[in-house]
Amino acid sequence: MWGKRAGFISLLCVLFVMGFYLSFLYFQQFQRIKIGEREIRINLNSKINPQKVYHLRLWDYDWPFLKCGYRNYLLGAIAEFQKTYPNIKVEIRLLDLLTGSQELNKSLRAGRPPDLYCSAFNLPEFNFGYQIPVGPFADRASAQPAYFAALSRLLAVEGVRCYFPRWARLKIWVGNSALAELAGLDMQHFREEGWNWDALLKAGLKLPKGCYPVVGNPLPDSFIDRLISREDGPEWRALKRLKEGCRFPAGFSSDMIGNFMAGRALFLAGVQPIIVAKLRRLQLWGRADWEAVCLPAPGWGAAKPVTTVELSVISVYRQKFHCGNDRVMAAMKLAEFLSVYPVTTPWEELMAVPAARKAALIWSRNIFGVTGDVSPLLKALDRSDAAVRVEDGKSRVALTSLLHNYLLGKVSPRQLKDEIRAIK
Amino acid sequence: MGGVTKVERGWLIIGLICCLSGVNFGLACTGRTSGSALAGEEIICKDGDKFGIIERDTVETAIQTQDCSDLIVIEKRYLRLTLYRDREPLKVYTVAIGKPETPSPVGEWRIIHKGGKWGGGFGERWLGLNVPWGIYGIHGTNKPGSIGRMSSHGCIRMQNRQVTELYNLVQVGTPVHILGDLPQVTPRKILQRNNSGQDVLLLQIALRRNGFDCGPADARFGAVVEQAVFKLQKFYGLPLTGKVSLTEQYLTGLR
Repeated sequence: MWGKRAGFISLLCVLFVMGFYLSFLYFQQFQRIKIGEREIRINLNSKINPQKVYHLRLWDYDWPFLKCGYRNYLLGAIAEFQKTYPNIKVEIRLLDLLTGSQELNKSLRAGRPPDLYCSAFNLPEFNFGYQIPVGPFADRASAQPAYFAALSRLLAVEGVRCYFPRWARLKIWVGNSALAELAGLDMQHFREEGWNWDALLKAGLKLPKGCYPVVGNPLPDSFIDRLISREDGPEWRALKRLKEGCRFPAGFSSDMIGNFMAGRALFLAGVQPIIVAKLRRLQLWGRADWEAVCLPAPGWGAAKPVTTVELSVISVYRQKFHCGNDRVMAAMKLAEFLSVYPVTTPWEELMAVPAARKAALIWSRNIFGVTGDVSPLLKALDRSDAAVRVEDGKSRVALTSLLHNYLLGKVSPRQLKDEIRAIK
Repeated sequence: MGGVTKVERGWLIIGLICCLSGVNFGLACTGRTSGSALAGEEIICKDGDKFGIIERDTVETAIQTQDCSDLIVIEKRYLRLTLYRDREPLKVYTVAIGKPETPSPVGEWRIIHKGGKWGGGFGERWLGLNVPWGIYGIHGTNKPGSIGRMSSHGCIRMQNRQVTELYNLVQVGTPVHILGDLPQVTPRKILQRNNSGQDVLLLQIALRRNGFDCGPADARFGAVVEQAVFKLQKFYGLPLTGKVSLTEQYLTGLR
C-alpha cells in the first residue's frame, strides 16, 4: 500500500515537473518587449502556415467623396497581396469618418478588435491589452521599407515602434508671389531651403496699406500645446512678438480664403494642400498678376521647423481568445504590404503624402509631374520635425478662437492667460 | 300577395335618394366626413386660399421619408407632376406653378398635412409641404383655366378631380421633390444648426455635390447637415466647428 502511494506521488511530481518544463519551453518562444513600465510578450518566430486558411478582419474608413471608389481600391490592394498569400482571406469593414474611432474603442473593450485597423487623420492610443507593436517584427524583416524619418519618429511609444505609417497630410503655407516680390522675399529659396518667422515679420513692414502679412492658422498645434503648458515660456514671448509685428484683418481666420484670393494677404497659413488644389479646380484663382506658391511652415529662430501632420497608421491587434501567433504574423504581413502599397490614387486626391518613400515618389510624379526628384513638400518633411495634429475638441476650438482674438487685439494678455487657465 | 308594383318601386327609389341626401347633408353640416377639419384647424396658403387640416404630421404617425415607396416629383420646367410608386411612374398630371415673381419653392419636401375645402362633388384638396419660409402646398382650384401655366403665388395647383385622386393615393410624410432653377441668394456669413432658409437649401445641394451626404435638401440645418459639415471640415483639415463659415462656403462652391 505504501508502495502504491509512493508511486502515485512520484508520478504526480514527474507530471508537475514535465508541465513546468513544457510551459517554460513554450514561453521561451516569446520575447518580452518592454514599453515603458509595461511588458508585452510576442512570438517573433511564428510563421504563416501555407496549408492553413486565415480569415483576417480589416477595418478602414469609408471615403465616399473620393472619386476613385475607395472600396474598389482596397479590394485591388488585397487582391495584389493575395498573389503572394492566397491563403489569407480578408473581410473589410469601412467605418464612418466621425464614429470610427469610437467603434474601435468599443471593440477593444469587448476584446474583439479587428486584426488590422487603418486610422484616418489621427494616431490611435496604443492599447496594451491587445495591440502588437510592429517594430520588433519589422526589425527582423529582411528588406525593410524606408519611411520618412520624421514620420517614423511619431510612431514610437517609449522607443518601440508600434504602428505602420500609411500616409501623412502636411499643413503648409501658401504665398502670394506678387506681394512677396514687393516685400523682397525669395519664395523659391523658401521652398527649397526652408524659412522662419523673422522673414515674415520683416516682410510685414514692407507691404502696402490694406495688405496683411498672414491670414489663416499661423499657430501650429505644437506651438499651442507648449503655450498652454508653460505660462511664461518662450512661446508667450513669440506670440507677443507676432502680435506686435503683424497686422491681422478681421476675419483673418473665418475669411482666410476670401482675404487671400482678393490679394490682401502675403501668406495663407496652416492649410492642407487639398484646399489649394480645390481652389485651383474651382477656378477661383482668377488673378493673372500673381501666383500661389506652396511653402513649408516656417521655423522659429534657429530651431528646426515643425511640420504639423495628420497621420494615417495601421495597427495590428490580437484577440481576447488567442487565435494563434501565426495569425498575428499574417496580419503583420498584410499591414506592412498596405503601408507601402505603391498605387496612390486615393492619396493623390487627398493630397496626403504616402509614408513610404518609394510610394511617395510615385505620388509626387503623378501630382507634380516631377520625375526622380521629390517635391518640395517631401523635402520639407525631411528637413523638419513632424508633430501630430491634435484632435479638435470643443476646448481646442475655443482655445484657437481665443488666440485669434488675442492677435486681433480683442483680448488682453492677462485675459488670455485667465481664459487659458479656465479652459485647462 | 304579389310583387312590388312599378309605382311602389319608384317611391322606394325616391325615398332611398332622399335618405342618402339627408345623411350626406347631415354629415356635411356636422362636419363628420373624412374631410372634416381637426378641431377647426385652418391654414391660409401662399395663394391666399383657406383650407381645413384633417391630418397632420406627428412624430409618431408620419411615415419616415426613407420608408415611403411613393415619391411626388414636380418638374417646373414642364409644368408636370408625376407620382412614382416603387420607382415606377403611377400618375402624371399637368399643374400650375408659381409666377416668376412668386416662384414655387425648389427643394426636397414632404407632405406634412392633408386637408381641404369640403363641398359637394370634388371639393379642393390640400397637401401641405414643409417649406420653412411659407405655407406652400399642392391643392385644387376653382380656376381650371390656370392649370398648365405659371399662374400661382407659389403653390402647385391641380384640377380638383386630379388632386382628389392624388390625395387618396398618398399619405402624410410622402416626399415631394420640386425640380427647377435654384434660388439666387447670397448665403449668410455663418450658417449653423437650427438655421433654415434658401441659403441652407443651397448649402445642402453644395454639400451633396461635393460628396457629403446631408439628407434631403429641405432648407433646414439639422443634425444630419451638421454631421456632413463635420466630415467636410475633417476632409479639408479645418477646425471641427460644425458651422459653415466663408471658408467652407468657398470650398463647397457655395460662394
